[in-house]
Amino acid sequence: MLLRIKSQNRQENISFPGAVCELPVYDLIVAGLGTAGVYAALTAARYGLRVLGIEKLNCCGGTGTAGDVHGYYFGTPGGIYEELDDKVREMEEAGYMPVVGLNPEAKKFICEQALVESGVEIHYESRVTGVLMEENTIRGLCWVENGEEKAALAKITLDCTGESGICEMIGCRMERGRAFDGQIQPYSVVQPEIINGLVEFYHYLDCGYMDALDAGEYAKACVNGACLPHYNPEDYSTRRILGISMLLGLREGRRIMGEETVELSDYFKDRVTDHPVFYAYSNLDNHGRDLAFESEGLQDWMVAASLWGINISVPVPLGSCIPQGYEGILAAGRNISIGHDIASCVRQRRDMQKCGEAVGCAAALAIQKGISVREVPYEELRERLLATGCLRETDAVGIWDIEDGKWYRSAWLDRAEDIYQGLKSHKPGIAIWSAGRIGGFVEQQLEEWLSDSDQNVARNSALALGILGNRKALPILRCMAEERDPYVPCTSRKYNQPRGLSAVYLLGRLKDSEAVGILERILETPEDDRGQEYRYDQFIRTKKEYGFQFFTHAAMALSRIRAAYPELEEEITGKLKEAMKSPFFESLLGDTAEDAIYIRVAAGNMRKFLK
Amino acid sequence: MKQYKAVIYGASVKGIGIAMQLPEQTLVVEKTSLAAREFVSALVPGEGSWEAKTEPGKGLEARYRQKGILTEGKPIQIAAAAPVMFETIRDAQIRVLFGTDLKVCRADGKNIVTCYNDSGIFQVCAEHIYDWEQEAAEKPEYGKYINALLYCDDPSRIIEWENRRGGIRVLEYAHPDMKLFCYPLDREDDWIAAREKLHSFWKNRPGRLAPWKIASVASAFAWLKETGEKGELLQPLYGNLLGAFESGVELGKQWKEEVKI
Ligand SMILES: Cc1cc2nc3c(=O)[nH]c(=O)nc-3n(C[C@H](O)[C@H](O)[C@H](O)COP(=O)(O)OP(=O)(O)OC[C@H]3O[C@@H](n4cnc5c(N)ncnc54)[C@H](O)[C@@H]3O)c2cc1C
Repeated sequence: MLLRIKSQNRQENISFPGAVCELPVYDLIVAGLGTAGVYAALTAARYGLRVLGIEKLNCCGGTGTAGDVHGYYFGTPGGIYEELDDKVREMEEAGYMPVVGLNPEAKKFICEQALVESGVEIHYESRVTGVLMEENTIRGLCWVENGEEKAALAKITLDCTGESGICEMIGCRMERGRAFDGQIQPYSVVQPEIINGLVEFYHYLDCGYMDALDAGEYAKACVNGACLPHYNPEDYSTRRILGISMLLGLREGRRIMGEETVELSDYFKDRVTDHPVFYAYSNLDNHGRDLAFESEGLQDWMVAASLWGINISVPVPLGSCIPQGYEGILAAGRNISIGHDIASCVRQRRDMQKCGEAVGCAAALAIQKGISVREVPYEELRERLLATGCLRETDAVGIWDIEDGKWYRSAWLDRAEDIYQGLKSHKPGIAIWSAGRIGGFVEQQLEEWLSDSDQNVARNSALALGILGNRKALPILRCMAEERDPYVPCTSRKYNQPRGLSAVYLLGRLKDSEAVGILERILETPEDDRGQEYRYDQFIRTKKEYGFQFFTHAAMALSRIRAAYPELEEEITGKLKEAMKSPFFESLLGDTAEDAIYIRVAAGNMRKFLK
Repeated sequence: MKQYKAVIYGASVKGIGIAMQLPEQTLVVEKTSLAAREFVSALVPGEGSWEAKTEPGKGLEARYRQKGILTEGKPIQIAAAAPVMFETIRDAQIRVLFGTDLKVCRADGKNIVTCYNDSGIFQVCAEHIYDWEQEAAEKPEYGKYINALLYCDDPSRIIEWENRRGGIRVLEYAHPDMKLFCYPLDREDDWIAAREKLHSFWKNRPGRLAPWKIASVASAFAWLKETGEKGELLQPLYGNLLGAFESGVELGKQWKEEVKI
């Protein structure tokens, strides 16, 4: 049997030095007893499996407890986590401080007790260090526990480590970040604090970016994050800080390439799985302020239609938890096979707990039937998941929006009249997107509406046509970009985009060679709002951020145009080079403000990737 | 194999004090992403003097006073003490590998240290190994505790609690509406046993403690010695964070001298 380990960031194979026949044997090993891992282990143990849980920290719950992210952000109800959460609330009431969400100490204890009672063997302070393999089948794991190397065999191993550390070790194909520069969502340091008698954790900062599977980068991030004045203020005398969390707040990392992958582009086309094991429910909460570098699909949604705040419901199949080409292994948690664009939705705690339950249930079925996880009969799995509420007939809730503090089920529009009214309103995003979805007959209407006397209708029609790839929108889009149209819609509860910016993006998307002059002028004077006196908001908070947004979108638009017109290559490349030497760009690179880390990093990446 | 004068297991305060003296020749290996866990995560404000004797100690003390983490006549706000230690790590350019475990073997009179982290496995060689937890746990007079921070909206609800040898202690904290709760464990108790004991006690706690709520529970064990006339007080090795840091500085200086020779 081969032992596959990682050494200095590279995979290595060595033969296992011990006697394999003497190793303890389990049905299932769960690596990482975090948000997903706890429920995977618990489910499998409740089905009678012999389960070993290996966790590098000294408690259960991962990011939700040790990481102090104790609040729930959307996600779907149902499943065994609800049963445990009820106990957590009961315990909290009997002598623990109220917290935003669920008390993390109570949660650690209740989860741990549930695992112990169901017979899971827990090994804390144990770090997985290697994988035992026979060809492409995973036979067990090695770990280090209190300075001692240990190993065990199992029929199935679950990678619930958040970062796909185990799948990476075996050589599974991985993906990380967005296409432009491989950037993932930012990490945060979490520092819980008592504020007005409540334990809060939400006041964290986006601290920057790193590859958590690179120990050097991870170490630097721990130090740099904790030293930011946000976490290290000059006066603590009246603060009631409870400490810095044991886990760095990692929102996104490496994801496995699974048998199936959930992609945003498929979701947009209603090409979703018909054999879900759980649903994710959230907005695309990507913490990104450098949207210009995201994919076209994501920018259509966020930049052209300002749909950041719309919640979507995404069915996830078991296939996205099965690493392509390997047997005896499954993944659960934020490291499953989900494209970067939709990963910011499929990561919330409720849903990751359900992911754990679904995967634990599938592993139990496979082991009980003596089959591969790929052969688990969906109907049987579904029955079991429906029984606990991990999966519910009512989970496919479509899209949700909020008005006056109240959430309601919204829907895409399908009648021209409704779309017209939507485009006319101050919440035009749903109408813009609906028109883009329908195309066909609405496209003709949109073309007519370009000359509507109502400016909102005309300009929002141009945005919808832009998404449809219709070049008739170009004259209005040019005008909006040139003017830096400062109109900001009220579509989303946060992060609505100024229409001028949406136009700049779409000029690039439509590869409009006639817009080159306009875009180059934006590069020259990115902070110039053309006398429009832009009203700063949560997304664009300062003049610098205003300039950053226009500069980055204009640069990316030019680079798209350059790719389509070889004859413009020299001119555009020259302009981009010049712009990336300008004092404005230098000021981006040198920005040391702690809430502008993304600006510095994005500028650095531009210089590297936008050759 | 890279040679170090010392490998320090745990980014402990004493370990940072040592490494500060010879940053190029020490490697600090810490299993979590935190520094000073034996004080900050273990919730150990400590006892005794906060008068620094060494230059680095004076710098550290000044920083804590400047930030209002340490104020005259009150225990240090220990839960808030980590960022200043991170600053120290950054400013002294100490190499700390966070998220790293290790195994030590002796070979040819040297310590061969195998490090395990998310970049993989590698080995280094070290003349000295320093491990705070080992140093404390080896001393029989130091007992194992799990501590917690308590909070009460109404700080006038004084806790009538007799702190005495062998028992649970309720100690003052930096804010009047917070207290430190120290629960004694058996040395062999692991995390599951420790949590079970703490939470079972708290569920059935005496009425005197009823108005107080647990705000947070330590994520590292505390190793504490009973002091005071009735053993009512609890003290970590070297008295407090500053004492531990300065003992590290002294040891670091000694090792630095050895390097020169
Ligand atoms: C800053 C921040 C804020 C967030 N805010 C919210 C919010 O408000 N609401 C919400 O619902 N979601 C929120 N999320 C998202 C959510 O918390 C995470 O996506 C989710 O908890 C991830 O679950 P997981 O099981 O994949 O990973 P984790 O919960 O991190 O679990 C992974 C576990 O694996 C262990 N592990 C890792 N490597 C090893 C190894 N080699 N050996 C052994 N064990 C290992 C870890 O110690 C950990 O316990 C937030 C995330 C972050 C980072």
